[in-house]
Amino acid sequence: MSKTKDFIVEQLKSKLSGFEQTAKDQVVGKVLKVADGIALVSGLSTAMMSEILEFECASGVVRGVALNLEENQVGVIILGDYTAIKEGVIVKATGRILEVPVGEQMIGRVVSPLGEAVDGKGAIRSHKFYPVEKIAPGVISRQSVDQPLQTGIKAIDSMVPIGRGQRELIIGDRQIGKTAIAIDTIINQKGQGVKCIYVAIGQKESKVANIVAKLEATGAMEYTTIVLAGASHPASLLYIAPYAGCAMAEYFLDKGEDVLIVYDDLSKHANSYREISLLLRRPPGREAYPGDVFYLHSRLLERSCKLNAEHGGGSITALPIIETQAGDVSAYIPTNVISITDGQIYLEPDMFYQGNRPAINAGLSVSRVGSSAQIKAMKKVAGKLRIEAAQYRELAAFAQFGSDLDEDTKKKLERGKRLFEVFKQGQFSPMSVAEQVLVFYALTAGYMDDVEVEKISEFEAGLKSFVADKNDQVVKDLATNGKWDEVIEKALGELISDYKKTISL
Amino acid sequence: MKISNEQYARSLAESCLENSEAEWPKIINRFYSLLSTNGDSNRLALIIKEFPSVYDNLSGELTAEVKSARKLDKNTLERLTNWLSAKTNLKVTCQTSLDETVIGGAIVNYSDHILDLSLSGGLKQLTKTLAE
Repeated sequence: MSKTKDFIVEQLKSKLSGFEQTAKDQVVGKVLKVADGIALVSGLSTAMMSEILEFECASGVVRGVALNLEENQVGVIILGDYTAIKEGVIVKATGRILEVPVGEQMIGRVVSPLGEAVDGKGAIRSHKFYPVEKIAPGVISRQSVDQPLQTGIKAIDSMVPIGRGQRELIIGDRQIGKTAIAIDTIINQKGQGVKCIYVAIGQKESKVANIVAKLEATGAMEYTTIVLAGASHPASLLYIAPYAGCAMAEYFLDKGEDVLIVYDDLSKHANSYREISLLLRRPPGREAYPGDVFYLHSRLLERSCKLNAEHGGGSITALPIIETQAGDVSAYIPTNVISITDGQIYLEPDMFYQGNRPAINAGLSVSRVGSSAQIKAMKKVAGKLRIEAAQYRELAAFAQFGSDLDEDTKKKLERGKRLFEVFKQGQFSPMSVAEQVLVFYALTAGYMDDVEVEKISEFEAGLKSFVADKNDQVVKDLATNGKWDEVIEKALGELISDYKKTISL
Repeated sequence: MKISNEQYARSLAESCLENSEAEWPKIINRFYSLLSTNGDSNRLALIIKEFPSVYDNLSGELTAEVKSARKLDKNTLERLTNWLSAKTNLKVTCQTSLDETVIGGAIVNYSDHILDLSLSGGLKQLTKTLAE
């Protein structure tokens, strides 16, 4: 017992003996003006851009970030409670660029943009820090996207496939299912070796609480980190949130792992940056956004990439979300982000209210990486689905005006109706790629032509459980190697025919 | 174009340094009338606040504030002044003040720098080290 006591005393002594007081020559400044989360500080002659500054208030230290370096003063955004800061308060330069804790400890946690735990599960002790702002990987270290990232959503995996390292924008009006797509994609990454980061920017905290609960219920929090900058947080935290989330993702990228990051949403991010810029008296441009609002998003999204094998082979796939106003995709921020990303998933209000959920518009949604991010089997069965879906919508609109339709048009319309029924999918019910191939093969090979449109979903569910009960090797192989040939095609055909014999159409 | 407080202070300091001390009352009077013509008389207090540091900068002088718990002896103050002069290459004048919260040692404040040589600062560092 006394040995243990001595050991503890020795440990304490060694900690004290190792301490050496150093006299640091610190650069300081004084607060000239503070308002709306922004402070103007005199002095700080050696302050760097994005340097952490510490305000020595009576209630404790409040941190801020240098954003405007002028001749006689520094414009600072305050990361915390700015009401404690008064005129004349001493501001110390730390010599450190803004950084956040990173590492495995962040997984399964809900954190603030500064990396502090906000989920009540105790403080996060991480000794690794990554800078919030970092230059994106260069050309030499990158490679083209060639590996799929399955979302588990039939309409996306078939028509607008997403690859690991791609940036695919989810765009649409409010309350139309943008976040639902992102959350379903996160849930579908279970067992896929993909770490997920969900960055909530200016979201209602009740909504984020629901998301956390859903992710916990589905076991997705085991590989997910949530970065929360809620609607009640200051604009400064909303501004740094996506960069902080990206820094956390870069830790796994450097380890050669695959990461999925969701920015929900960048419209609110642009708004918070506009607020900061106007308060810093930067000149306003179009829609009052500052001149560098394009760079704001391009430098963030360029950090998503697929690295080549020499650089670890990791990837960051980004799913930025943009909220449009009354379907206006030609507004400033939507057009900017559309031009930066490698494609977009456009959600259409009309389709949503007609009951087509997810309400993905086949014509306006694209994936510039395209079929290189699809397995061969999916390419084969779903190759023409996008065109067929777009053609059907045109024909359906045209067919409303006349009843005399030729056989071919009627056939296309019937197939289209079934296709849109197949695309309907419930929330939080992602589907494996093998099941998707099976369902799309049943549709494109005409096995669903004699099934009534209203019964398609029932047929699909029955087929899935029939195949699961059979535990067929062909379907298992599809899931593992994704190959496609005549033998597989024949085997799938037989499976579907067998199933059809068991049901009454 | 709006003239900043710092620009006013600089112009006054430059005029004073370019002329002999005998001329200074005249310069100051002209400066008052300039402020009144520009409608900036109400900014005089802020200009006065800016003036010492601007004047020091232009004349190659530096005023350092030294805060200590007890009055520093002449020898210590001289060593401190010489050390600061060597560090900044400026002619240093030290203004001392007493503050019991410093406990021991001193805190030196010059231009936009703070050099903490105090015992209270050391204790703060020790607390931080133990907390980590």
